[in-house]
Amino acid sequence: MADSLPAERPLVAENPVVLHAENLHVHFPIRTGLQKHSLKAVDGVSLDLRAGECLGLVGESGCGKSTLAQAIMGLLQPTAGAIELVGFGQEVRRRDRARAIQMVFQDPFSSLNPRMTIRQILGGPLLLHRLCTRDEVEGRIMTLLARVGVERAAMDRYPHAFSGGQRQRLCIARALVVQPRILICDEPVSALDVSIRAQIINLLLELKDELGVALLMISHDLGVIEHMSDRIAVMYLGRFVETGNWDEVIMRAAHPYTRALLASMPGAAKTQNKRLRFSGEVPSALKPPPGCAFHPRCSEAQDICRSGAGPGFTELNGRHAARCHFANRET
Amino acid sequence: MRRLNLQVGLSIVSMLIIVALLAPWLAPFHPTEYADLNNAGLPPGSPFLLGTDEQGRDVLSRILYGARISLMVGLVVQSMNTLVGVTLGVTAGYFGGWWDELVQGLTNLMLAVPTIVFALALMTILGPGLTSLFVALGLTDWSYSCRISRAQVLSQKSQNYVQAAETLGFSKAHIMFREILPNVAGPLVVVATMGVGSAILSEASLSFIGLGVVPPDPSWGGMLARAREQLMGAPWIAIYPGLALFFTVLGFNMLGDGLRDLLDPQGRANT
Amino acid sequence: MSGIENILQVEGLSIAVGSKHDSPLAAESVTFNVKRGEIFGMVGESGCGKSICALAVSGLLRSPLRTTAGRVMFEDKDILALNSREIRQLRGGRIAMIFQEPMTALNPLMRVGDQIAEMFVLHERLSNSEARRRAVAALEQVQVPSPEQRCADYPHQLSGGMRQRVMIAIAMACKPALLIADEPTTALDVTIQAEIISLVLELCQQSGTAVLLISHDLGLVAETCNRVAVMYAGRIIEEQRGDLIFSSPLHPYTRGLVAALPRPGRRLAGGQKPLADIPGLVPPIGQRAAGCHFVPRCGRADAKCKQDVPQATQLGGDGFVRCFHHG
Repeated sequence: MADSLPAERPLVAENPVVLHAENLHVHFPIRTGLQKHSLKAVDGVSLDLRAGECLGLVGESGCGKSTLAQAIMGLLQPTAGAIELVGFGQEVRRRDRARAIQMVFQDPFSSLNPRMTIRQILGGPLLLHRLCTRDEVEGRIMTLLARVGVERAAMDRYPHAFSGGQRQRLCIARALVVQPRILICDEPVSALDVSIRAQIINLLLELKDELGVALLMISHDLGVIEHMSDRIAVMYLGRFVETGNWDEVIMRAAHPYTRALLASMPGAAKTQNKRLRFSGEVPSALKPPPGCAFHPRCSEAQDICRSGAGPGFTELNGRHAARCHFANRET
Repeated sequence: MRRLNLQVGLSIVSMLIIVALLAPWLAPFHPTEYADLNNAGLPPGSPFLLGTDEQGRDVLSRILYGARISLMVGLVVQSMNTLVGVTLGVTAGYFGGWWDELVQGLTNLMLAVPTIVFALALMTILGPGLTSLFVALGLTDWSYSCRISRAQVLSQKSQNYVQAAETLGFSKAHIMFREILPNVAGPLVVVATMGVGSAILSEASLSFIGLGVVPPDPSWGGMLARAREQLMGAPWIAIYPGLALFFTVLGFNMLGDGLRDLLDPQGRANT
Repeated sequence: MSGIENILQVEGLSIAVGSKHDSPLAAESVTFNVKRGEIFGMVGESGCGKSICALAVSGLLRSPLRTTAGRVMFEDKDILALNSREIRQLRGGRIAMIFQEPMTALNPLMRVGDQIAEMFVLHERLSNSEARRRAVAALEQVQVPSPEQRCADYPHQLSGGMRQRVMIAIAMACKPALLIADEPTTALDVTIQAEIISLVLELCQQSGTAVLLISHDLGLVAETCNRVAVMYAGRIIEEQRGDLIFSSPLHPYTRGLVAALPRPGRRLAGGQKPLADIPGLVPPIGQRAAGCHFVPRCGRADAKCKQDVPQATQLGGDGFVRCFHHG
């Protein structure tokens, strides 16, 4: 069905892989009284990111999606597992990683240094990485500002002079200034108003197509994820529970969690024939339930789901997999 | 009321600076070389506007020259304290971990023992004199700068612009001192300003007990010490340096208060 | 719905920021009514004045905000004319409220059960033991698991969703006639949001409570509300049946919002076309020109729009739109 749709871009499945993460774990030690626990924020995640694709990462707050992003970005040291930046070998220097991966944050108000002008904010990284000479900085900044849709006069202003949407454009400009191959966007539109949100989403998609940058788009909003992603990964309690091409995940969601997420979106009742209700809240990542971590909230849980190590991935077809014992069952 | 602090503080401090700079021209007599025992212990009048001391030196001239020493000690000592305190505080707040715990322990130690006791101990080892004074006072009163800069850095560290700078590959020194420090400078300026006052006071205290500025150089504390014996007969020898000291410290404190009101956005919102 | 009496009537409500006679207006002649048992939505972007209107309706306007014109009739009383004691009596009793962040609305030093029981003691003059028993029942009603244990918890021991349930229990304790819900689920996950909203609707239906739902989320409001008022820059620019907001928006601003929203199913139906965006920004308070406030961002604006404030054009059935070039 997706093939026949108008205005779809060609599949990006053949593009080269730029980032490969294998069995990534990020655990935080937690001390409660005398006992030591470890909070498994990311608990065995593997992913590939291809040039020019948008991988949408969706999940509730506390599912570990931001921790995963920070680990990939190098802001957190993974407890186990490997992150391979293709073409950089095993030991990636800090500077190289900075040039290869960049990040846009949720809150545009705290993301720009209030004591620096836009010229300093955008020019600093250019000079740090010796991407151009001092004389060329101004021209580079001009081009970049024009590309993200901020007026040239912005150059010598301080961040407080800009609205939320414009600040987010400036944050995107700062991330792009080093010409990264991967752009991680952690809830980049959640803090923005609807009319501004659309502007930023459009801008990100344009930049992805123009520059061939790989987008790791993190959001709790399935509407945004559906609109932007080529592939979608659904995360629950530190693990991916479903991955696949966007249309497969949206139309033929195989994991009950994904289906419930889809069903809880406002306006989803019309597109989903069955409205699934959640019962209960996300369990603490400190004490994940035995078996499938989702079983306490799952309306379809059986005995097999409540014990053991939990289900592995079931391949549904080459482009879609779900971590559920009943992934193959038709619903 | 808020503006009053700033205005009065600023006036006193600028007057002090002018006096210190122009002392050679303002002072009617030389502070040390003019000493005529025939004129010893004269009450205020002409030509000795504030009287003379027990050696016949002009009290006014000595106070004017004393302002130079006080101001120099205040500024140098407080710069040293700020440098030490901010460096320790910013690094402790940014790096955290064992370094943070070490710095915090040290800060608590400094806070637990009065500064003047530390300074006293150091002065006894180093001997009196201006250089030892700088060292003794400049390395002992940094705990407030340290605490405040650490707390400020902690609150800034979670801001996304810091993470953004990290992801862009900037060095840790750049992030601490070029990105974060300008954002926390406000409160630090306030602490530093007030610290000048207390440094001047500490110098006076040390000079008072004979461990500070070496006589016959005019220091307000030293003048006070010498005046003690004549307090009943010639009170002016003590009163005028005392007043100079009082207004100087008051001026710096008011300036600090005024700056705080000016720089604190919360305070501004309330007016 | 015609023929059913209005529980809340807001007429020509204007709210100024500041005490000068020319202080800028945060809300301009806002007029709407909420019928008994109805779910009425107010939707708009940040700074559109929707929360300020909610504050006025609950009698919570504080300096520098003040009403300059209009009436807020709740049942037969003008809320703006009541003194603070009368308003307090009304709040918690006939009018209840829930907010975005339940943590700030709950007393952190008081057990959850006591906070609910307090409502019964205050408004129904029940004895302490009876009130406590009712508090457990109230928690059970909002589907809090093991309500007896939860009664002994302090607010910080509960999750965000649980706290919002406690807020709902407190709000619904005395079966109010009107519930004002200001962004009640914005701080929560979508999954919890769906649960909380359906819980509120269920409880309100049971007790015949009308709801004034304030939200920035067009999808949520459209799905939940009988009628929806869309606010822009301090004015209600369109009022519509909830189920028509997405299918037939009339004001250019509403159309823009609908087109800008990445809604589920949209890409499946139409492909990954760029989202339509509304150029420019919401004009801040004090920088709003005469005439229609949407002019600088509107593709249809002409000279008339710049001069005159569009009056409400009644639509067939329920609702109106304030635009010279609607449809």
